[in-house]
Amino acid sequence: MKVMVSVKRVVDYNVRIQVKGDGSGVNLDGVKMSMNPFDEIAMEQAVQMKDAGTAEEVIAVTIGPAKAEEQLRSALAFGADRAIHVKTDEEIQPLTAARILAKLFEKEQPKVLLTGKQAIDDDANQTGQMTAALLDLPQATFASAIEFDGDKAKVTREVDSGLETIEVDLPAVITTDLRLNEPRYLKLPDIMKAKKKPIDAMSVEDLGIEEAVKLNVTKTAPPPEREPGVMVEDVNELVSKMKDKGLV
Amino acid sequence: MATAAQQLPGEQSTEQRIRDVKEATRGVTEQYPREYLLKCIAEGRFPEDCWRALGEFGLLGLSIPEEHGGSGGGVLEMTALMEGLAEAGIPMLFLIVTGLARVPIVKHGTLDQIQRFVQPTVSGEKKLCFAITEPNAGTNSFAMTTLATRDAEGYVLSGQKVFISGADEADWILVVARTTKVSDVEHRSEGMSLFVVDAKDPNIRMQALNIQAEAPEKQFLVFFDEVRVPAENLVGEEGRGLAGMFDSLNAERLLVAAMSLGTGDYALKKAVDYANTRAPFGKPIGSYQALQHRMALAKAELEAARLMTYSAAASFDRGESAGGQANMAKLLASRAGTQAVEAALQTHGGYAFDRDYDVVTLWPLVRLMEIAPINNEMLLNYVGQHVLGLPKSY
Ligand SMILES: Cc1cc2nc3c(=O)[nH]c(=O)nc-3n(C[C@H](O)[C@H](O)[C@H](O)COP(=O)(O)OP(=O)(O)OC[C@H]3O[C@@H](n4cnc5c(N)ncnc54)[C@H](O)[C@@H]3O)c2cc1C
Repeated sequence: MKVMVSVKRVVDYNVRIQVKGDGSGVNLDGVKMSMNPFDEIAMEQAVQMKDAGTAEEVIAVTIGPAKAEEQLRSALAFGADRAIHVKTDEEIQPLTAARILAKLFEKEQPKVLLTGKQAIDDDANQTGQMTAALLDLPQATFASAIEFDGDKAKVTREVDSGLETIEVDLPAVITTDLRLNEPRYLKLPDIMKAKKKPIDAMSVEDLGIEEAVKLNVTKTAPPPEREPGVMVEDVNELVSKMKDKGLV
Repeated sequence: MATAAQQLPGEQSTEQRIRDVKEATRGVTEQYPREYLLKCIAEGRFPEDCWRALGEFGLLGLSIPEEHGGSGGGVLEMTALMEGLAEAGIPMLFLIVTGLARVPIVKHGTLDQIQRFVQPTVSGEKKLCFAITEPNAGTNSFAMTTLATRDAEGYVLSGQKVFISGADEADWILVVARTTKVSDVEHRSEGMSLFVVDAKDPNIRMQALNIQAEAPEKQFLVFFDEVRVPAENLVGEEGRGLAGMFDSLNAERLLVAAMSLGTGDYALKKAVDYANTRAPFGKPIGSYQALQHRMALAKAELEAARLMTYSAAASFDRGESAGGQANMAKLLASRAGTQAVEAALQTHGGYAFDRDYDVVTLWPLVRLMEIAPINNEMLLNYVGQHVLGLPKSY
């Protein structure tokens, strides 16, 4: 089958985010950017399917600035066969991303679209769901295990109450959770090979997509500072302090 | 260095080449983080798994042409590899040693020598170490006395070398030895040759030194007692060894620079984390200018040295001679690295000296880079004489 994977360029998870002084966003000046970790998990899933012979072709897609080509090259180094780069310098909201992915899905006709369950920049957790809705396809979100069987996929989902296993008809949209797999590390020869693989570049206009401007970020603020703890002498004092605070 | 950089697919920018190598390096350092290295040091063992992973990830093949089983790339890629390791807390001394030993073989050796001695190091399966320093010669390599005498079957090698890193781990030692006694040559720089010597030869004896470098590689006094070396293990022309060696050494200095830069950044990151939380007077010590400025200055000096280091590396890879630049880069980077570790020490106060905080443990190796493989005074001598045109000062 053909597998499409979406990958997003985000601030590297190791970076200590700094909020801009005027609260208009976070500082991206000179900050290390990487592939969204949940998308790495989606890529790993796709490449494992290729290794196992379940997938014949893996296509990586990104929507983002020219520099997002770095993340596409990483996806190709993972083992994607080719990539699509929808170039834009605008901030892309989840609905726009979903419209673009839906359009590319219609064009490419994959059996499955794999996306990370959310991107660690805005943590919206919407794109996969919206894409499935726009395409009127089944969706299986927060996957921690996926089994393909003919025209169906059995997906174990991580939900608040524990694990839930559902079956979806293919084609479908599956979003990946943390425990699905451990993404591989990229080796130099694979990084070099990836440079020769094709990337098809296009603009949002080329796809005839109307940008959705539904969200308006009014202010960005750092989380409140943690208050210093208190030292207690013994267990009795600990218990009484916890009682005072209504914790026990 | 060895060969001009292999042309990678497409014309890659310097930034891209660095990023590619660092991405692959990160794959290794995330599997083998600083804690792993500290464990190896504590247990006195070579970081074999990490070394093999460097091979598996194509990184030990850097600077070795693809036709010899390497990954291609040039000085810039090796520099990025070393920096990537050090900034993750894995300053791999043995990588410098490997570079020093391999480069002259790739550059001056025969195809057979490259295939026998260099190719098996690309996977990490075989190791090469490097022996030039002698107890009574030190910085003045020309004063070495280790002698290889020619006979019908090859050479017979006798003498001793000191401070040889990883000699116990190595399969082969690249030895710089005299083939003509210093009294018999016109100029002291003549009459030296390079040999690849089997490290397991029964006529070689090794004595471990009591070195505190906080690195997993051990140093040895190595005694050669009439070691038979086949003629086909002579690298390059007899008697021209040191000349051939020196022109490749300048590029290798950048590995030292990269190790200092990476270690400096690693130390600064620790210092910043600590300074943001430690608050003996109620507000974080990082808010005091005395500490903040020290860290900021260290950062600025690291960045300046980094620019020079990569600029020199790119020059070498374009086939230009960048000896002056490389020597200055090593000088500045090693000092900046030490200053950054110094800032981390001051920031950590008394805890800096608790080994478990892993701050004082960063100091010996970064400080060593101001002394070995070449001391900074010699670099200043070079700059004075060859860049500025002043008289030789020693
Ligand atoms: C941990 C460690 C690992 C090493 N690994 C290796 C290895 O693998 N292989 C190898 O061959 N060697 C190795 N060395 C040796 C290292 O390269 C030498 O220690 C270094 O070159 C300096 O030589 P020396 O110690 O004899 O110093 P000396 O030559 O005695 O110099 C002492 C000091 O005098 C000053 N000085 C010397 N000459 C001059 C001059 N002309 N002008 C101005 N000042 C000068 C410098 O400040 C220098 O630091 C290692 C050393 C250490 C400590």
